[in-house]
Amino acid sequence: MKPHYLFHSKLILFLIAIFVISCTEQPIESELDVNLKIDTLSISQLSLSSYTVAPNLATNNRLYLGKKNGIEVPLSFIKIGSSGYWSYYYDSTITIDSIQFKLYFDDSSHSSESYPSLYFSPDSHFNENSSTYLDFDEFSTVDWYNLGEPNIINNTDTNNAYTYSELIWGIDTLAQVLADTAPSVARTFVIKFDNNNSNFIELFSEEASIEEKDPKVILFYRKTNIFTDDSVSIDTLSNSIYSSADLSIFDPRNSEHISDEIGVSNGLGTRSLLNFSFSIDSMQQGSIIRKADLIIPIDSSTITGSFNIIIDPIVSDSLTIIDSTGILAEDPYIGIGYPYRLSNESDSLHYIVSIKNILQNIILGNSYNYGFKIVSDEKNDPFDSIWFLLNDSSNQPRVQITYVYNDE
Amino acid sequence: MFTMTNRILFLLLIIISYSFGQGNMNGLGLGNYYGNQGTNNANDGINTITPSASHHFNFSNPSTWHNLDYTYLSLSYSVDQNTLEDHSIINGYSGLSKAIWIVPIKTKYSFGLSIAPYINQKVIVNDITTDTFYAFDDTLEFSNYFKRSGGVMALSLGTSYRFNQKISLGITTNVLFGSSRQSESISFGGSDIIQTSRSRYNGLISDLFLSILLKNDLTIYSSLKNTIKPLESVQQDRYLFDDVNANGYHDWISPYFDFPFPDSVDVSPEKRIPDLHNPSGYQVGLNKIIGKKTGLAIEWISQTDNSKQLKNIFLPTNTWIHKTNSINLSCSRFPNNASLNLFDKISLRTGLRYSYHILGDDNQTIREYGCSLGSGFKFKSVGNQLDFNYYFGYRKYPNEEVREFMQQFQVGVSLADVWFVKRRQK
Repeated sequence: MKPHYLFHSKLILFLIAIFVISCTEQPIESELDVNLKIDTLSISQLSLSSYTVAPNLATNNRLYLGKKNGIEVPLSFIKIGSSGYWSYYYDSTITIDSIQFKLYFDDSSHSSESYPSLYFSPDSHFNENSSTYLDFDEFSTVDWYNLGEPNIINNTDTNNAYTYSELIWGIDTLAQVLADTAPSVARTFVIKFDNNNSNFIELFSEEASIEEKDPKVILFYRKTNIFTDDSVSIDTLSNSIYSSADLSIFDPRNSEHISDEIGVSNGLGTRSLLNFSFSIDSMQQGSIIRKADLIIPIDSSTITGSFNIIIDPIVSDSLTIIDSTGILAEDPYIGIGYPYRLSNESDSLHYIVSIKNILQNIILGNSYNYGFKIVSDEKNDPFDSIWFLLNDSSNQPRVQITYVYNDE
Repeated sequence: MFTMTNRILFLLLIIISYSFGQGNMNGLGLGNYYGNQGTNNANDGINTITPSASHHFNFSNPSTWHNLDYTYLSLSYSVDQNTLEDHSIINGYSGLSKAIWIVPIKTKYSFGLSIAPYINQKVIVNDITTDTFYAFDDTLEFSNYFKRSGGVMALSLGTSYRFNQKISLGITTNVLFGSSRQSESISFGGSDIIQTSRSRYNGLISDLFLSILLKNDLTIYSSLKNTIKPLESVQQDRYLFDDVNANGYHDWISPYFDFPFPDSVDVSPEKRIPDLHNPSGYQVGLNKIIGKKTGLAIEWISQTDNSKQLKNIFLPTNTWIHKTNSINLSCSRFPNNASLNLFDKISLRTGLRYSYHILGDDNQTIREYGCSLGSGFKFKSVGNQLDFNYYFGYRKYPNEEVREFMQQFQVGVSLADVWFVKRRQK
């Protein structure tokens, strides 16, 4: 029937048009006064104090030796780990020709007269993560193997430009001791200047690179291969055995640092404790922090390069009353760490760091304010220090918070 | 291959369908009441209680349902467009406008079930002003933004009873239900800080309908609206968040994590907000049949929202409709089921509407002028019907220079059959 034909075709067309084509959604422009409001909170009553922890800089990219900025580094330890190559000493097909101990540095201006001496002991003398100068008051290398001063090789690139230097000690005499695979053998080397002058050297530590310039022992050997037809071939080879731990011992006791200054320094072991009043009730319930900056004026005159400062909220069970004038073997304040631990670079006038994440979680009731510890980043030059300026009334340390809340 | 008629129809439908959505009314109170958006369905046109589909029947008036000869299942689909006069906003949406199932019983009783949108809450409001805030020697420019989606539906159960040849009574109970999501945001410093919330609604409204045949050709129709349980909202607010990844949701799509971490916040407890919509009102209509095919009708509609809490909640434009009065004038040409003439199977209806909405905060008035043109075609012996209706109108808002134009195009399909009749065994 004709009407039915019409309905059929038109209805299908209509339904396709209706369902396929989407709607539009343009906003209405109006004066809109939502319940969300911006506000600020400034906290200027900040309590800052310093405390000193005997420095342990195990994660530093460099090994140091000597004296700089009043901070003395009398010793640097290197531990060579166990390796299957040590067993070559007992392999009848292998003849060890020589053994070298190598350290690297990249200072072309270094004086050729000031190189350290190397000593060896099969025993373990340090713990990379906990040893400090407090453990080496009576330290002596009298019972150590004295390996003397190194040979120096200065390397250049294809343009004859200086690239790096190698300090090389021949340690063939230690072959038997080094090859001892007993678990108690720790293969500890120590470098030190034999004379107490103002020498200073900065070497690559095992954290500086991946094997390339790590402290290492190199075995040079010949391997004899006997084939089934009784023919013999001899290969001349070498293998490296890398350090498993290293540590420079910083001794800040003779520095000229004024003890009542507040700041951070790796070499001095100086850390700071920050406290201010902030709790779940400090802002309107349900607030969200857009920006929360801790601003502390600094004296940057002692900084030679970039300087990163770490702030870390303290966990509750680390609260301890300490004697700020003494030197602590360990940091009594335990930081929460991720995700609140922040490291950022200070500018020339202020240390400014965002602490909105921890403050927001205090507002949310997920965390509590037990204070913050402020320390120097491990990668900083340990001989640099930053001191906070607390006495400028026009430029006080403060926390500035910009936040939004619902005014419903 | 498309004929010229098909091409014209296709083009027309694309134009109509492409640009449809929210109007300024969506920003008032809880949103746009569907009763204020053109016509209720394709079958009745502009008429709300007086007949238009046939000379004694209106789908929205249960006191006329028992006059049907067959059980009807009717669906209406609507596309709506709102445009500001200066074309600064052109919005549109489409959706089901009404689904109704009516069962007449022996021309004396009837019952029916329907579902229809009641409030369209979809709205996006941008703050036209940019304010400044001074924070620690820094001047922050900020602006606000509000977005809401969702709405309230009405599930209606109705029945009617004919007392005698002149007087009929009908009643409907409307169960209101639905939900919406809304977000308020404040934008400054490169990202938005947003608070989202979710609301679930429930309410119960009843309408009592009365039809009285005054003379042979003159019938008065009326209804009385009463709220049994005012609309209640169960609202749950989410914690504020900094929408760093700018997607509007509190999430952690790496590498852009919203702040604070979604896992670190709790949802606020639900709060009940009663009495957000508490309508009462009445409708009066007079219908005059001229000849057997034509009807003239006039309707007066008055509705007041007696809500006590509406003014205490956040409203995107800070105002709401407190009272609406409307007058409708319509003229309908009814189809003749018995005729074999094709033209007699076509119904035509047209009407005019004038409404004024009194705002709740300052008693200012929104005035609306509209007209409607519709047509239906009956087919098959039971009276299946295909209806089209077009409504055009404009609103004049207080303190606004430009007018808002509305267009609505509705299409409805009504399928009839004999139900609950015991068939003879062959």
